[in-house]
Amino acid sequence: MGAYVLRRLFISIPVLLGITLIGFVALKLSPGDPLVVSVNPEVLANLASNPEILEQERKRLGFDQPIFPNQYFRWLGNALQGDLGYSITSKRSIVHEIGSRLPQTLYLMLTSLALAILIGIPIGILTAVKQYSKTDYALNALAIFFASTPVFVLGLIGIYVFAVNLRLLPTSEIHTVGRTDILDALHHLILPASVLAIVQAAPLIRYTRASMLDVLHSDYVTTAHSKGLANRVVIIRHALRNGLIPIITIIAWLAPEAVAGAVITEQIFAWGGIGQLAVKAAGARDPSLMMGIILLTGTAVLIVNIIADVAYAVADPRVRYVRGT
Amino acid sequence: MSAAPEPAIGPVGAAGASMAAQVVYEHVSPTRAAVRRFLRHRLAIIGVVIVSTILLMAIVAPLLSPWAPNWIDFDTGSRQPPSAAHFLGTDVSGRDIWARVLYGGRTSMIVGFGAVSLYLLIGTLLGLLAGFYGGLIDQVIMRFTDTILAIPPLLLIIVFVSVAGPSIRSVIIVIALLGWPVTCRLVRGQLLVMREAEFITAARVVGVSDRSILLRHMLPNILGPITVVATFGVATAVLLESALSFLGLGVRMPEASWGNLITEATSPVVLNQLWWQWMPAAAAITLTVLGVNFIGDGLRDAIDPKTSKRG
Repeated sequence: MGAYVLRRLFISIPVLLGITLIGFVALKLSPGDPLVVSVNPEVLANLASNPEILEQERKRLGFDQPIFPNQYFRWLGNALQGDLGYSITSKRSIVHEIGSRLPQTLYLMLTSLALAILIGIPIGILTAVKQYSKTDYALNALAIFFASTPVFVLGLIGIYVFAVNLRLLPTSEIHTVGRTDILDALHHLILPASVLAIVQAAPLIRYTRASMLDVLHSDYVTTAHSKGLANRVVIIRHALRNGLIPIITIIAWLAPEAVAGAVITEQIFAWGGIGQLAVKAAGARDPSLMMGIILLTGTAVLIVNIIADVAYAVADPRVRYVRGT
Repeated sequence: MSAAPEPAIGPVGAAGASMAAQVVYEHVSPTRAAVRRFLRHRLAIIGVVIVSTILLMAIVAPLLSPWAPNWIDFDTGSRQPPSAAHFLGTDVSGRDIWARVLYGGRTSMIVGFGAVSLYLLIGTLLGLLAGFYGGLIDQVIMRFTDTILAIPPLLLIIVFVSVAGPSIRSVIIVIALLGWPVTCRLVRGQLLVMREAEFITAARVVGVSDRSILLRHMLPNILGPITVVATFGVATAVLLESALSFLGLGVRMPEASWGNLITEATSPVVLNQLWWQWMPAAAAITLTVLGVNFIGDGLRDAIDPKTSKRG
């Protein structure tokens, strides 16, 4: 097991380097003075009057050296120490900008993921068990429909129906100004979290169904049936255990999609998290901020995938012996 | 590889005839068998009807609307309700919404088909290289695909489109440059299996060149799966373009796109009272993507009959 985890970590190193490289490219492709995005704006303001000192500063930071590999490795060293530079729009450090918004995004994403699992997996199992029934067709059609509707359309329809017409839920923000109680927070969470959950549940339903059908058609399930066990027992005690293992991987596959969904959902509901920050950064062409968000989400998705792979190996020991890439 | 022939058991011959002659196989080529299965797929046919209707409407847009999409009709004014002259009313600047929905369809189709054809080319080429040669080339290409796949596509696309400057062209190019890894993985995977196949060994033995083996023996066999990936790719590209344009980071006003038509609905007045300003575009996106997904499902089932039994 230890060897498997090590191997898995080892093959992630090139991917992690690749992510930093893409972040660095995003940073360097943007026009503008590299000093502005790497020096504390307050310090820079004091230096700005003297062009000679600015030139020295450029030299000190290595901006006169070749972009690759010299500048890249210097930048990578700084990034590993937590120095990602400064935002040109807010003048604050990137770590501060991202750090202050991360909790909101995690709050929204984790709630919606939990909801998606609670909706998606049981429905997926149900459609597999009742394959070719009217329930199966109806739920499947619903899943395809939701998978084909853009997140922002779902969000707007949600606001139109529940906030505007029925007046049940608030349209935006994390909480009402001046209120900090949990009830108000939950009230604000329902709509965005449900929209994001539906987007993730739709593919989850289809994958769960496919995975369960694989298992339900396998020999050991037939054996269990022919022993005369009750259908319920066969499904719950025998089929579910194996049928749900691939779901671990699928949840990890959904992570990038979930981030994309969060970007749009946050924008519609004025949520004030990383997603909204990303749109703002792109709109203002704030290079270091975009780079920071790429690094953060890329690394996060990579870690989620590693965890999923290890969890899979725990659940299904066979994969530890297969040489995977 | 792509499809097994479907033997049809013919009528049993006259009693007493020799055993061997009794079962008559109708010869059906794998491609024809797949086409037959596709035509029997009800949802896929619905998908074809939806998508070809929308495609046709986008192509003949000028015939369906007297207005140019960017023409500002000062006589009617801004945000007018549907009328005889303006089928779906006018937008905030007094442009005809029906015309904008039609031309927005053009944008979506151009981005969908343009980006996907470009990245199919890149993905297939790199996948063929990785799968055929293996070794270091394979390692480098695969780690590169892993990297791109690790970063949420929408974010990456947002960043690079903003750097390139938002326009239809940069949306297409950025989606193409970031969309190829899925195709590449698929092609490589199929090739790894096929490399060991007997007909490839046979081709090598008679001295067929690498290039010829790749292009004439291997490539035709993976066209089926590539078509499926391409179809779902078009759906994803249409969704991505609309999301980008909705966020104001893709196709920008006054150029019409379904996504930027829906941006109007972020203003509370439009969302609450002027549903005709955004709902048609929203319906158009959903219908298109739904139709393309139906076609994709149908193609997948037709090409790999095993999946249709499972769903």
